[in-house]
Amino acid sequence: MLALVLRWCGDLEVAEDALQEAYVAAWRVWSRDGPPRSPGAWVLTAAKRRVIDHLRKDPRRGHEDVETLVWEDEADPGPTDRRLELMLLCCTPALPEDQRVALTLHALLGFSVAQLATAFLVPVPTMAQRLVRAKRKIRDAGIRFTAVDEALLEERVASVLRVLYLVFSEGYSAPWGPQVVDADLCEDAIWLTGLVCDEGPNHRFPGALQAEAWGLLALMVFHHARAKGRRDHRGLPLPLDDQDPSTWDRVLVNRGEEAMEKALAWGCPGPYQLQAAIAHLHLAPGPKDWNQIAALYNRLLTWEDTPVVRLNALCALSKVIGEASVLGELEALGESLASYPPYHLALAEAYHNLERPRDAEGALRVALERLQNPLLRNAALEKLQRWAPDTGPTPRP
Amino acid sequence: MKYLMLIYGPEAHLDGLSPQAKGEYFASFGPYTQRLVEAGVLRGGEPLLPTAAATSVKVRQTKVTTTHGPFAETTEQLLGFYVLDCPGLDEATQWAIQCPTAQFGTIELRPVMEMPR
Repeated sequence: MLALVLRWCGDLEVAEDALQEAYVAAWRVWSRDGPPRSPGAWVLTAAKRRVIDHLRKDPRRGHEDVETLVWEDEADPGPTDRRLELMLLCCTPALPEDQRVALTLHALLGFSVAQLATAFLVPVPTMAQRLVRAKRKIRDAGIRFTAVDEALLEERVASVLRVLYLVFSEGYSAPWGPQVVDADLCEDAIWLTGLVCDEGPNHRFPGALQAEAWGLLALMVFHHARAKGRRDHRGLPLPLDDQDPSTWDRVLVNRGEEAMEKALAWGCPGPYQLQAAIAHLHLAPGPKDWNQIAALYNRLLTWEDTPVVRLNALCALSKVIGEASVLGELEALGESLASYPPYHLALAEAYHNLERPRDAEGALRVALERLQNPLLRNAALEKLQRWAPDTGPTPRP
Repeated sequence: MKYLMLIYGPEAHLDGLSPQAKGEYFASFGPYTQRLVEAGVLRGGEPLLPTAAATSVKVRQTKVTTTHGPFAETTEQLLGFYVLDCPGLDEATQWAIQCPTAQFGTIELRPVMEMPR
């Protein structure tokens, strides 16, 4: 609905207000006269009337603007079309990333401030402020919701993929119990990415990005396929090697493989496609092909040379050539990854395998200092107990 | 909507250009400004002399401090500006993309505060 109304006026606040007033009017009139035959159309017409009123009062608008709107025919190409447009608009690089994410979920999926706050584990006032700032920037900077110009499309689509990746990551790493929130976010991200894949060609998205959209979809479904097997019976996260493949969703895996084929057909490799290939290798039955995985991470480094990717690359490499050969480089990452718990966990694992129990314990303790998530803390604590049962004070769970 | 288009770029880059290249760079602003005029969006603008010609002034509790140079040392410096009047940020961005300095510098688009008359 919002997407349709936005198309008429290019202003998010005007659109939201018009739609809100239309719903209020609907409630008032329908409770008196009964619902109309076509409630959706009724609300849209009411919203349109309010948009036109607003435009008439706006001194900046030309006379022609308003009149075209009044006489325009309701040629509606279909809701999916609009949602992609709306996504392109909410993901404008002119907004900071966290605002893009919040705005996309708010405008496209109807997340309330409270739901967003829960999903991203921030206090409600913080999330409310985030949306307020986004709307303020949109108003002050003149960010209008009109079609994205071709020259800006490449950057915009890349931003959409990035936002979807962030939404999925949030859902995937959500720590809390009954996976109501995180499954929703993951599934929402998958659905929206599917939309980008399916509708991309209609919007002349650059080929390289269409390939990456399919790659991102594959990446998401490969990860989500393992959703049921990721935790043990106590809810603690299980390492990949300990997960039970029979719990994985075969339908999702197949969907991912189809998406990979569509991606590869474009012949434009990219980081999401590489990550999908890595995820796929982790799903393969039998002993892991660490050689291939390490090789893929090396290629990923040519696209994204970040400390986290380096960490993952080193972990894969250590499975091929042993921990001793990578330890130096692993330790060297300490400065940039000091506040990243998985780094310390990986380091602890390496020390443990190299039979350096004191260093392993040290790294685990550092990890525990950094970990907030109670489930992950418990898992790390258990490991500490297993490796060093009688040494030192036990950190609190 | 009015925007101030602040044209930033590393002065070192300009200093490193051959006289011919420098001449071509400055000359390219002619056609660019012409297009802004023809589109009806130009409301003002000037090129600026380098930061070596700048002077900064501060007053703190009636104490005046005058310093040689710009307000701060930065990797890119303010080289010039335009004032544009466009429908929205996308249109302003299109103009920023075409500014010759965008190729090696940064164009900042700052909305002008609308003051009631």
